[in-house]
Formats: sequence, C-alpha cells, structure tokens
Amino acid sequence: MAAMVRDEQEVVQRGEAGKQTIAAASGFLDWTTWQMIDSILPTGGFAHSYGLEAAVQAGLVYDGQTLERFAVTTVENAGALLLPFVYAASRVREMGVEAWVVLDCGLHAVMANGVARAASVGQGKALVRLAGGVFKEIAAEVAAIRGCVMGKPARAHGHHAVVVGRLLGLLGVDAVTAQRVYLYLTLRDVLSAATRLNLVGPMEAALLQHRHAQLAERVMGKYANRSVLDAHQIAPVIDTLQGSHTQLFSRLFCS
Amino acid sequence: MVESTRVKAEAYMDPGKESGWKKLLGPSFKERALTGIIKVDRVAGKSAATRTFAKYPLKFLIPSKIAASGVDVVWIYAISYGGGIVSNDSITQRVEVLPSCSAVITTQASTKIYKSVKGKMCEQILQAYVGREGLLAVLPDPITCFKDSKYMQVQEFYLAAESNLVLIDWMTSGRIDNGESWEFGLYKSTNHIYLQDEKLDQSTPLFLDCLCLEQGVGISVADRMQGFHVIANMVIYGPKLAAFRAQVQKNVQALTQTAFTRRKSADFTAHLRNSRSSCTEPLLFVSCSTIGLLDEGLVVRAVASTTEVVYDFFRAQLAYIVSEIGACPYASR
Repeated sequence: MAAMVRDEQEVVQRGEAGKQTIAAASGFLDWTTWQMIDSILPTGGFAHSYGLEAAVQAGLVYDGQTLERFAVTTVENAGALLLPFVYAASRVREMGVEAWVVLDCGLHAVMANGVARAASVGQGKALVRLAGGVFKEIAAEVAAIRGCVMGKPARAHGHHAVVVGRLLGLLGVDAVTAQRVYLYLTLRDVLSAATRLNLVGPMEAALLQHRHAQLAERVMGKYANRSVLDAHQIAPVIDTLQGSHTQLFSRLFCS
Repeated sequence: MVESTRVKAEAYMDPGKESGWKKLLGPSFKERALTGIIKVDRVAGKSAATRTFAKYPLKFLIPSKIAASGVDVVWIYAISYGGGIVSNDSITQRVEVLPSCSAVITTQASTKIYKSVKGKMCEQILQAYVGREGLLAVLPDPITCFKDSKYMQVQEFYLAAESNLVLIDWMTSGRIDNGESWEFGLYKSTNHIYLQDEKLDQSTPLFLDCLCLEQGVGISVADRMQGFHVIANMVIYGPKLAAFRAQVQKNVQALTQTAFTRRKSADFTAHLRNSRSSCTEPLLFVSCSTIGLLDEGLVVRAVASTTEVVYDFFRAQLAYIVSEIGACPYASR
C-alpha cells in the first residue's frame, strides 16, 4: 500500500496520462478503509458499550432521547480525548516504532478509568493479532508492533486508538480519514450496544447513526489534527459511571 | 505488563525535569514568575518549612498546632486575597517535599473564580516534587466557577521512588444557592503525575489527566452533567498508603452497590428524569481504578448532587490516614 501511495504521487506528477492509475490506487484505499470499519472484521468492538450499560443501570439512560444525549457526549469525548492519539499514530512517516511505544504508554497514563483502559487494550490487541494475517502488504510493520505489544517482556500495551491510527497510516490511509474512521467506530459500537440493550430498535439506531454523521463532522472540525497535549475529557459523569461497570450485578458487555 | 517505558523520544510523554510546564503552557511559560515557593525539609529530625515565599495574590499560613502531637507533618494553607481569583490573576507555585518529610497543602474555604473580564482567564499552576519516602497531601476545598468565569489549572507532580501522594481535585457548578449552575465559560484542570528515576534522570508518566468543560460541538455542559453539581477526583499513590488504598477501594465498591441498587426507588428515578425536581436524598456516584504497573496507585472519580455529600465522602476516607496527616482538613466543613 505504501508503494501504491508513492505511485499515486508519481502519477500526479505525470499529469493526465496517469489518471487511471490514480483511480485504481484510491479505489483500493477505499476498500481498505471500508474493511477496517466493517462489522465483519472480528475485533471484538461489539463486546463494549462505552459505559452505556452502566449508565442504563444507573438510570441515566432510559429512552431514545437520553440515549441520544449519551451518544453525542461519547462521540465528542472520543474526539477530545482519543483523536489526538489516532492522529499522531497515523503519521507513520514521522513516527517510528519507538516513538509509537512512548505514545501508547502515554495513552495508558491518560486512560485512568480501568474499565475503559481494559476495553481499549483488548480491542487494540485483537486488531494487532488480526492485522498481521489480513493486511499482508504491511506484515513486517505489523510484526514490529506485535513484538512490542505481545513480546516478553511487553514494551507497549496496544491501545485501540494508537493501533487503529498506526495501521491505517501504514496502509496509506490519510490522517483525516483515519480520525473519521475512529469516530465512526465509536458511534457504531455505542448504537449497536443500544439496540442490544433494547433502548432503541434497529431502525431508530440507523436513523440516529445517520443523523449523528453531522455531529461527528462537527467533532472532526473541532478536534481533528490536534496535538496529544490537547487531549482532554469532557464527560465526567459517563466516565465515573463506566468505572463502576465491573461492579454491576448482571451485565451483557465487557465495558 | 509493560516492563519499561523509558524510551527517549520527542513525544510530550517524556518531559525532562523542567519541560513539562513549558510544553503545556506554551511560549508564555517564561513570563510567569513564581508567586509561591515552599520547601519542606528535615530540621532536628522533624519536617519543617525551611523556605516560604508568597506574593500577591497568594499567601501561605503555616500554623504549627493543626496536626495531632506526635505526627510529623507540616500544614500549609494556601490562601488567595478575598478568597478567590479574579480574571487575569495567575498563581504559580512550586512545592518541594524533601526525602522522609510530610506536608499537607489545603485551603480554608472553596476557591471562587470570578467573572472573566475582557475574556481573560484565572490560572493556578502547581509544580511539586516529593522526595524518597516523603508524603504530600494536596487536600483543597472545591473550586467554584462563577457565571462567565474562565479558569485553567495545571498541577504536576514528580514523585521519587517510595514517595507518597494524596491528591484531591474537585469543583462545583457555581453559586448553586443563587440558582447558578454550569454557567461558567471554561474550566480546565490538568493533573499530571510522573515517576522519577533519579539514576537515569528521567520521568515516566503515571497519570496524565485533563478535564475540560466548555461549550463544545455537542450538548451543553449542563446537559452533560445531568443534574449533578460536583465533580471530584482523588489520587492515592505510594507504599505508605497501600492499606489506605485498599480501604478506599472497599468503601467505593460498597457505595457503588448502594447507588446502583437505590435507583430502583421511585423518588430517585423521578429525580433523574427531571433534574429540576427536588430530590430528598443527595446523589453520589463514585468509582475507582488502579493505576501503575503494579497497581500501586488508585484513582477515585465521583459526581454528586451536593457539595456536602462529597465532603462527607472525603472525611470518611481521610479518617484512615489521620495518623499520617495529623488531622482532617474538612473536619469543620
């Protein structure tokens, strides 16, 4: 894929004659991006509710309207807290594996909520395991990450945001698309959890997903391409409730 | 488990001893003069404040008779003139607790953040070093942000091996009695804790936390807070406080059980469904997580409907370490 990006640049320099090659290259990138956000990709995203289950059991979310409030806040929080990490990790040309390890350990210190932290590590590791076998064109780079995360002793944790960012970057997806992918995954998983918690039906969830695309773009407008120094939380109530998730008497989700 | 994160890299995660502030605050860092300096050292075998300096708008009170006799600790009250911070005020403190010394920093009442004039901010910056086997407890009253105020706080802690820290950082929604709630312009609080390796002269981030409340692109701060009026955090770290952490963890779990069971009562549900309705009982949701490679730290997060219920919670927890800190700062609140 990296080679394909280079081709694309060459083609741009060559002008008119290379138009067809451009189309082929960007077409392939689209397929890669879609695969990354496809629910068929077994990364375990659907095992997580992003604190929704705890919020339901606490009585804070109980219908479509309160769910919407929860979803909007969760997406904005992901934007404010995690997009800077996706962005930094996706710029693979500026970030070697060693710097990525530092970024991952920094994100570990940022995620003080044990439930969210375990969910992030679980999903990130699943994706690392999967990526080596699926995205053969970047197998060597994935092996390097895998060595850091699963080697003995492990040097990195493998948090979801920095794994998604780095993989997309290695595959040649641009940083803005990588961040958009991350928000998409967040919204998709929250709404999927909502249908399984029976808060809304699948039709209403689809409607919410479509409607919140506008919100997600506003989140992109405000929080995309930020430095990790600006990463912050905006949702203390959800964060506190999610921290209690493992205490719930009965639960459907891991987080 | 991660064995080592001591990788030299140009990420912000790996600041040198002085660079953390610079990176967080930008180029204006150099223009900020220190408004307060405290050094706690051992004098005749006991902790004592060997250096104190404070200038407007900050003042220190260091009474000697707060802690119970026999407890080796220095109590420091950080006070601002008028009990609050007006816009464009900047309080910048550096605190050093030397090896085997103990210090408590607290306040006399909540810190009021007054209305921002011409968009200017109020700032509080604290940088603290705790030496080997030292103990620092930062136990202030809450920050109260008035309508249209703007507040930014940065607190950095550098901990040597075997050192101990109790950090409480909390805020309320405004002058609740006047019906003012979540009407400030900005509240941003950053707490960073780094573990220092003296031999390598490097620091590893343990806890990088930043909460920012302002009007974003989604719903308003008030809607996000869902009827809660207080946000509180407590961080406990260090070998001396292991039993304290275990006890707090147990208490928090018991409180969680109560909170999640209680929601079944009709009164409680009615309150949640209409945040303006009065609820007979105050609400407190609290959860905790361990931090650090060996789970040697604990972070407690709480949201509550009243300040009193959080004071009660903190008082109940701090009672376990009165033998370390000498007294409870919230006893008379």
